[in-house]
Amino acid sequence: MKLIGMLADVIRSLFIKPATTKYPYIKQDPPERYRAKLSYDSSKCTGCMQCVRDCPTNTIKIIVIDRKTKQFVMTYNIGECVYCKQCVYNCRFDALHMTNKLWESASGTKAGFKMIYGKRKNIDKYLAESAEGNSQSAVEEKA
Amino acid sequence: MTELQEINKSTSAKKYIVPIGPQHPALKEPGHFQFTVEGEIVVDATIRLGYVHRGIEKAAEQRNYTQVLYLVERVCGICSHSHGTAFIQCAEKLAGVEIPPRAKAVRAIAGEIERLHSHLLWLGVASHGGGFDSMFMYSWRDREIVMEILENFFGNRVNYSVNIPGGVKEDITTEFIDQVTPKLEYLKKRMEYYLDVINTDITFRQRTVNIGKIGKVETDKLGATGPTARASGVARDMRITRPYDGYDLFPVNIVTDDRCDLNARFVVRIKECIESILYIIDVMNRMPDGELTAKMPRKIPAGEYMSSVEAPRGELFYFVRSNGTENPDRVKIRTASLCNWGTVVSSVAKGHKLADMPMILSGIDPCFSCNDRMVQISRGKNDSEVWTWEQLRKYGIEYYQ
Repeated sequence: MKLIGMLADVIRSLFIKPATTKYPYIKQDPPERYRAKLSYDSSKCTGCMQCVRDCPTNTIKIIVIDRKTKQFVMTYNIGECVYCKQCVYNCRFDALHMTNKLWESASGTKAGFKMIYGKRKNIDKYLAESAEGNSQSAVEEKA
Repeated sequence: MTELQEINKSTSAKKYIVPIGPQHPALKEPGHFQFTVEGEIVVDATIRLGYVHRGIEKAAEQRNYTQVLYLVERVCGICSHSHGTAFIQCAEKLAGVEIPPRAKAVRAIAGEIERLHSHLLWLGVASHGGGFDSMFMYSWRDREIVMEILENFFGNRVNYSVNIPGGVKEDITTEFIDQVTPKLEYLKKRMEYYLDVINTDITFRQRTVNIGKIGKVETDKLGATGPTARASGVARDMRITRPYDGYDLFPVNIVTDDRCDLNARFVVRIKECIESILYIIDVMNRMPDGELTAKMPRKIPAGEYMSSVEAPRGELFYFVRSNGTENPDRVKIRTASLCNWGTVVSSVAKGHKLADMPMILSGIDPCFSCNDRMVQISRGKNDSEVWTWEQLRKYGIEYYQ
């Protein structure tokens, strides 16, 4: 029987490095397999919509501009994505991948959460046609 | 007799009801408890749940099987893998799909890592409830190792969604085995140390030994599951009584204790952690080769299936009815926490001091969002009836007026 059960552990901890890190000041790299931002390659996409079909939050959308010449625009909202990787698993043409980039997605405003992927001219066309398109949307160009 | 003595006499004979919750500084989750006290001793306890009902069972009817898999993972963040496994097992059995042995092994490993992180979380919360904050800090520091394993290999810290219909997403690679084995061996040493601490620390023993005792017969009668039942000597473990994915290929050892008190619940959970570590190392070294997934049809044939999974808190039960379409017709969830409340309310709490209640409550490892599954409207009739939306709405408005 001990009066203070974890005394030795407590004293030992005085001389070792703290277990916590000063996170916002010292940035940490996410693990390699960490699920964060999606990457999309419109040249590989066929517009089969398998990713759209199984998205648990219905956030991923593929806009077909021209199916024959493979002109697609993909959009999704980081705030709605649950990072389950089902769309990547469903994609049989290797067009979707999950990267470990942009994992710090906490924000005070809703702006900048909507991601738009595709060729520049297709994105411009999509933004001109849709009322949602505003200057705050994050736009990523991919040849 | 002085006036003060008279007051003391009249108050001690009276029963008082101490309400706790739904919003209370000592409770992390919403639940309402009423403890009837005589002096400092609790003589009766009642509970009211339902503050975090989210309508997940109804929402499941409007989504396809793959989407429901991710929805049910969010019933409870701590046992997300168990929820997903229990649901998708039903779909796989209805479709007649047998998942490959390697996928089974990955599911079993993910389940045991989940058990480790859940029990370490509980160890911290329960010792914090008993005022043993050193244990809380150090067990949570060690839990971080498990969280890192999940983060590094399954991609997320909490809802890691290892399952997909017909198998698993992530593979257990040799890199995984090399990195995880030393971490697990360190954790095993720590768990043995915690087992020693809870059995030798005088203050902690006074707060746990012979507190919240419940006998084997009564535990069995009240239908308790998981570590709560096993700490009372009831050998009830779904991994052994109804082996499912992975546990049919690699059997696991059961941990029971006959002392039936709060200390036994600590001992059972810590020993289960050690058992899980040994199990993970054993399965990793005997990983079967082969595919990770089997082909799964989108439309599940009509039928009904019930599956049980041993979640960290106890038996998790799923009922799925399919009508031959892409969406399930009915999903019924019964979680482990709901089974274990009976032990607290009907027997464990009575006869103890009010100050012991936080520890007794956390002794069953309650999960409030798991509890809020269904409302049974009993009007003394045996015949069941189906209510329309209008009837249900009218009942709801009248109830809260």
